[in-house]
Amino acid sequence: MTMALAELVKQIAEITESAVPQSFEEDAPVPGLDMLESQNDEECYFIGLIGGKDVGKSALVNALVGQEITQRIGYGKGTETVIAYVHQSRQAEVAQKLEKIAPGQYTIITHDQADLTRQALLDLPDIDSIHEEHVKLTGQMLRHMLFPLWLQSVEKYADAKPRQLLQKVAEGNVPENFLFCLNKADQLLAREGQEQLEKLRQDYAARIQSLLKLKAPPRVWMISALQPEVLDLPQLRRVLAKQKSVPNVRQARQAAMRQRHLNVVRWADGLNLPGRLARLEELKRRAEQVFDQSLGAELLNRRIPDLLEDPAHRARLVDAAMDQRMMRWPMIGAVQMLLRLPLSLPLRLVFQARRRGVAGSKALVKQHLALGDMADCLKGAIVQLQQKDISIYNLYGQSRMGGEFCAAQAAQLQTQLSEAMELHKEQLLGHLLKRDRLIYALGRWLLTWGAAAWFMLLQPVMEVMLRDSWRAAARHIPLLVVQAISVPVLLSNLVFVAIWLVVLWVAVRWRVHKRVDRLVCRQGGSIKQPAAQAPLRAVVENWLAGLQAPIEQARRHMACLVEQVEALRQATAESQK
Amino acid sequence: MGLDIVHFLSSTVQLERVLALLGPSVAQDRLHAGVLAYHLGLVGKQHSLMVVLLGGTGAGKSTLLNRLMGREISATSFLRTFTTGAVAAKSPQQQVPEGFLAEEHQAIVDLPAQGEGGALLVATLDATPWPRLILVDTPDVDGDKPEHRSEADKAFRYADAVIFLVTPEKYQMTELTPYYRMAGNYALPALFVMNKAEQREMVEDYLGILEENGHKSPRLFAVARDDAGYAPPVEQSLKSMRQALEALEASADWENGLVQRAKHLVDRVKGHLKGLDDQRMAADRLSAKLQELVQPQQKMDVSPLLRDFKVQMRNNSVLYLTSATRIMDWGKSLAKKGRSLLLSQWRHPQPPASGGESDGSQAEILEPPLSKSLREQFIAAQNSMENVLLGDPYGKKWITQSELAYQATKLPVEDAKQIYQTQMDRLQQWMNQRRDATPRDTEILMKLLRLLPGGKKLIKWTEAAPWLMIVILVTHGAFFGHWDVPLIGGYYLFNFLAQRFSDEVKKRARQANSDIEADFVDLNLQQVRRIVQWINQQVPSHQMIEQLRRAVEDLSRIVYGQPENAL
Repeated sequence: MTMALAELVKQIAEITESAVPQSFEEDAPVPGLDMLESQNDEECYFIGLIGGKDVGKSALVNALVGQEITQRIGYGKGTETVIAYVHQSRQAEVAQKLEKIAPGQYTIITHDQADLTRQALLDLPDIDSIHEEHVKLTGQMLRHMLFPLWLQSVEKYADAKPRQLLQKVAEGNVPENFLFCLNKADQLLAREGQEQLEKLRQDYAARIQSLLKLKAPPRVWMISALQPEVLDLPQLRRVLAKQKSVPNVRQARQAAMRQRHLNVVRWADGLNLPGRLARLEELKRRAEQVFDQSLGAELLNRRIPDLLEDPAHRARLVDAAMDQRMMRWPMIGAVQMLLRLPLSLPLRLVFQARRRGVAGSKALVKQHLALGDMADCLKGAIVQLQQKDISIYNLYGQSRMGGEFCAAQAAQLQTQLSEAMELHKEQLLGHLLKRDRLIYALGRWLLTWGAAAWFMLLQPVMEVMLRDSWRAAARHIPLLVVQAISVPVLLSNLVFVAIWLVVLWVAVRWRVHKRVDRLVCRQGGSIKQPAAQAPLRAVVENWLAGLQAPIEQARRHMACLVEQVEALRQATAESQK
Repeated sequence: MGLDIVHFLSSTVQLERVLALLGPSVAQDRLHAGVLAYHLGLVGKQHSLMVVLLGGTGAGKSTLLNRLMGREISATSFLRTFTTGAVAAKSPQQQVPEGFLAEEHQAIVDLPAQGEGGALLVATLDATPWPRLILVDTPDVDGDKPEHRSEADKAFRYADAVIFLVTPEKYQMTELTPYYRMAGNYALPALFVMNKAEQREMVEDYLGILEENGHKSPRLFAVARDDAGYAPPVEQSLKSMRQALEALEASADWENGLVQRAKHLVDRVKGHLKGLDDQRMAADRLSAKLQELVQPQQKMDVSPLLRDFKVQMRNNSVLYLTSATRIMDWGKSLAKKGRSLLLSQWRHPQPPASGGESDGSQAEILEPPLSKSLREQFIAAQNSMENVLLGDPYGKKWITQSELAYQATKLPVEDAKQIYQTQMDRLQQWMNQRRDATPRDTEILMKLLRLLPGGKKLIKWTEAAPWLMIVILVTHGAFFGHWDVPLIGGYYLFNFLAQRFSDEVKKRARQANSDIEADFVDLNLQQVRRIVQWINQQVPSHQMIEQLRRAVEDLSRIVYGQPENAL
């Protein structure tokens, strides 16, 4: 959860290009997340005195402890290190902790009061003097302190510096964990009396209230560190003389954690994430519309039908099917070979196909969906979107107006379409050549070899046999055989067989043609949307969806962040109850 | 040093005037220039020394003033940040110099006064202990109210002498450090008082801090806290402070201090000037970059729209009717018909046009491609302009600063469509005019033909000319002997050239193209001009900067001696 919160803040800051909240900066003086997340109830908690120069921090520590554990100096550098007042059993633990936070800058003084084992009282350097290292050390300590005690003097309570620090700390901790004390109250009491003292308390409380935006002014302890017996000090001592119970500390931690959550939620609210999400959604809707209108309509209603209607495409299918078919036919394959060349010229003229009638899928797609043309179309669509929201510029790669992106996408469409067409062709061919029975093979043999044998040999022989007596025929037949291999007969027979084969070829081609036709446009699909379009349409629709991917991705990311912030808000609200 | 005060003053005043024109971004500089002008104006004149009390909250500024004057003048309270404005105490003979604090001077009768932000309250007493001085109480320099701090800062800058007031709790405060240094630099007579002193060590520690900040032998006094058992030595007592006030007079180095102030001011303004120069350069650079974006990315071409009209016009032209092109076109159309007949068996039955689509999308689809392209190109141009602006750190800053004004500079996209519409209307008008008119070449030819004998008959037979030519060619040599080929060739060459040169439609299309392009460039230029205008609103003009440069140069010459080449 710790990482999740920090990670959430980081991601939001990244996506909105804004700075993280102050409490998440590297050395913000707020309780660290690791400390707040700690489940170790036996750990020592720190109560530290935060205050300006010479407000009497050390004096107050001494007064609270009841003995002179730290030196009171009103001039020079004053307290320079952390002075920790801990139970003797905890010395090692606190020392280890302090060594990590402020190596070498601490002194530990032990006591043996059994009911103060988990509490460590800290005297700290001042926060407002010319000694920067003091301010830094106190800031460091604040990262590990759950209960700061804000000590101000009658003279200094309106200073700007402590006020700024308090504001920063309050971003990551709740005022309930703070104690506000006003020292040297005895000076005023002696001079002005009890009534004015009350007025001063109210003034200070009102200043804190307005700064931290509290519902009610906080309790301010009016004390005099030098006179431990008067004013609120005896009471304060009683409060601090008993350590906080485990549930109380846990509660304080949770409250501080809630404050940090609340802080993140408020910060996120200031960034208007739902508004950004709505904008992205609107953008997505708009993108869908624009892509559908400017690209989808063009592609699906014009280009794809045109592509499939292209006679070159059909010729290609028929040719491929013919090639396969001819493998099964004896003899006609030769005709196919022979006819291919003379046929290619008229085919080329009729179909305007660039290459030998049967252009490759790629060439066909290129012809119908020229790269530059598609890229321009896409560019136009993106430009239209940009008009709606300039941030699209970031989503579609940093290139100016997405030029490279468009070219790449158009090329991708081409490849995908030609692949789909190739696949479609294979499927059709498979369908066409599926069945081949023995009876068909027999028929083919009869029609080719059988015909050749019949016309060249069997027919003349049988004619003679039927016409003449078999004796005459017996004489005739060798003659016929000899005649059959004479040049003129052979020629005329061959010519006839050739014509026969060509007729057969034409018939087969016609049939293939018809079957292709039927398969391509009437198989299963409606007349409005021929079956052949389905795979290509799918490709185009996929591609169109892919175009929106960057927006969709950003939208999903944003939605996820909004959801998380919302969850955080709910969790915070619940725990507040 | 022989300082020309009059010149010094006039150039400072000039600088202040220019700074005033530059607006709130240089408000602090303007204040400093005003202070300098005030002090220069008083040089050589008899006037009361304005002694300002400066210190943190609760240091006892008001209390000290009252104690020194022996009267309740400035109201005191145990509540902090109580004094809200400067309060001066003078005798009837004294005058607060005009222009002090550049605020209204209000005379007050009811004492004590709490002060008033944005005004100097002047209490006139029957008599004051020091007839040459006017003591001024100020708000705090370290409290939680920023307006108090700026008020105190101003009072310090206008002061002729200053009394720094600290307490044991505050003598280490960082807020006063810059003022200590400035007092030293500006030759401002300074007294230091530690109020509520408790121990000798504190006073000595304070002395150390003052020495660190450039005051070699500060005149430090201590006022002990009422209940502390500490009595300051005689030379630090309140009594000697009164004497010190008695003897207080402007430093002999005062003019040097003023030069120091001017130097600081010059340095500050030069720093700003650099920033302004950078901004100005960024603005010029952006303007130049924007100007490059006015050319259309794609060529405009209306000729596809005129194709039908061209065919129509051609049928009126004698040149075409008599040319071989007509025969060729005829052949082509025949071939086309044959092809479509052949292809018709390959085609699927076309799906009937669906009428169910929404009107909006229909309209968008039906938008003529040229108009669409113009619109898209204009959007693209606007976007690239925005990209140029966003790509520049200053441009980005200006856009975030005045988003609304920037958005207002954008011309509506429909203007680009309008260009197309206008040109198309003109083209349509021209087509309507020309549709029934005889083409110019035909007119000329007809006139020529009429001059020939039997010209009228020739006119009737012109349409048969190509066919006759073919007959002549086929029966090569039958009519004109061997001359027929060069004759016919020559004729067709002439015909071809004449057609090319007299192609009105092409000419008109070319003109329309260039018109559209020019209009488009115009529109873009207009857009760029609007943006540039907006940019110029964000940055002071060259002239302004130059004026500021001259003013600061002038002052710099006076205080630094010679002009710097660096500027």
